[in-house]
Amino acid sequence: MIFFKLFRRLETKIHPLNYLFWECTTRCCLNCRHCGSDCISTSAYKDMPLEDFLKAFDSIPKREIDKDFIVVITGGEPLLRPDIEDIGNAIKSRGVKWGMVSNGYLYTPEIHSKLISSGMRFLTVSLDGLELNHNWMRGAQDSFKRVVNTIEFVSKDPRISFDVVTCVNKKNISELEQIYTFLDQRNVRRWRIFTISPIGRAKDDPNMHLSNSEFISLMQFIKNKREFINKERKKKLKMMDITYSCEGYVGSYEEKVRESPFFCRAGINIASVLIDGSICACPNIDRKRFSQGNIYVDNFYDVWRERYIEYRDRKWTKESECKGCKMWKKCLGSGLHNWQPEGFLCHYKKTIRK
Amino acid sequence: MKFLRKILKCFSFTAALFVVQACYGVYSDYEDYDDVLEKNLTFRVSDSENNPIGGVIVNRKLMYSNCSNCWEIDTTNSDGIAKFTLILLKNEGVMFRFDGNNSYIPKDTFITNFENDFIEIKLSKK
Repeated sequence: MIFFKLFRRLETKIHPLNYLFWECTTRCCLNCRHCGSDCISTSAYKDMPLEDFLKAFDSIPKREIDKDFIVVITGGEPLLRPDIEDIGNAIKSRGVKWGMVSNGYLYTPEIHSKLISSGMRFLTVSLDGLELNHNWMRGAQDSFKRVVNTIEFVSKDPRISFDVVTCVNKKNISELEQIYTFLDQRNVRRWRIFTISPIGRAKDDPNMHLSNSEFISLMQFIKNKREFINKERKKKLKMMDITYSCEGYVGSYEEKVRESPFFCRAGINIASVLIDGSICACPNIDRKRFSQGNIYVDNFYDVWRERYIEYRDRKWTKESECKGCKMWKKCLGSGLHNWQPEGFLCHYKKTIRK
Repeated sequence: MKFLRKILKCFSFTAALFVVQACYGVYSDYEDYDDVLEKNLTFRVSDSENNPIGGVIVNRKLMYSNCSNCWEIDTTNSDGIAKFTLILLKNEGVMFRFDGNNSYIPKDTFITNFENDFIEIKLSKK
């Protein structure tokens, strides 16, 4: 823990940018119940031209771009952009690896091959349950079939760091064990579990939000599974990894549900260029409150260097919702995406048994 | 301070800390980085008299995970040239199949050594 705290302090002080989101479109081919961006087939925003993003990207000095730097293309559904391969090649030509978050619906082996050639090294695909629940969440009857097809051929490709993410809700929480087996049988190496942030369409849907006891049972499931996996791995058996995402600090479950202690990297290692040019961090953060500038007005790298004060000094959280919390030194106000206009979502409180 | 960061990484057994996670982003597993290579290859396909053969379909398949549906395809130009970039794992072999329409006998070759980036292929007439 001493090393971790030292590392966290140092990382915050240096704040090396090595994870840049680009929200290249907010168009989507699906209509998911839990979409944090409220994406639909037609969007109020036009796709951001590649040149605009590159202009912002090129403001980053080359010396600041090390081998760990990645660009993460997100949406909406990035595959709706006809120039997705050009986007990849443009990023690759700058010596940078990139990844993509996709719903997997439009993905094909041909597209996969092209994207790999254009420098894609990371891919995350969503699976939100077994067939009935996934299709219900995604609002399309053939969604499950198509994403499973994607998972089956991508998981065989060792050239790419691939994981599957699942948003756990009231409907799919009972089928986690089956989903684990389902993905494990398909050679998926890593399964990342999310819970729903109260943003976008998800905030008004009661089916999306776990009760405290359901949240605890989810933590328990991940913890037990990780213990089991570690035991099996000692016998040299290959097992799919399971982690809870960086949603928030989870008290006594920390390091039992993920590899490292909770550390919200937003504004410390992570920045974003959003669809309207806003310069922010993770795309699920309250944009109105936490955006730091706009690429159409500001120099992107100047903003990264000089602003992001609220991200790098989080004492303000201690003065508001976290006032008096004994966990603050460990948690530092949880993930910034939990600070929404509707209020603050504390995962730690959800883990306390009454 | 960057130096101190490197020292901390080396001595604190905290490699997992350096995996940056972002909500709704990809999982950036740095351990996977170094195993993937990028190779630019040029094939020249010709007949026994060294005449270039255009329109030869160059199928290539990386030899991983019993993937039966992973052929990638290029075609030679009128100079018999096919250029492409291979993304492959270190020490990984690649199966190539040269399919010269109905006039030539298809040729399969398995390449593991990519030190040369220019490779000559001869096809025999049927």
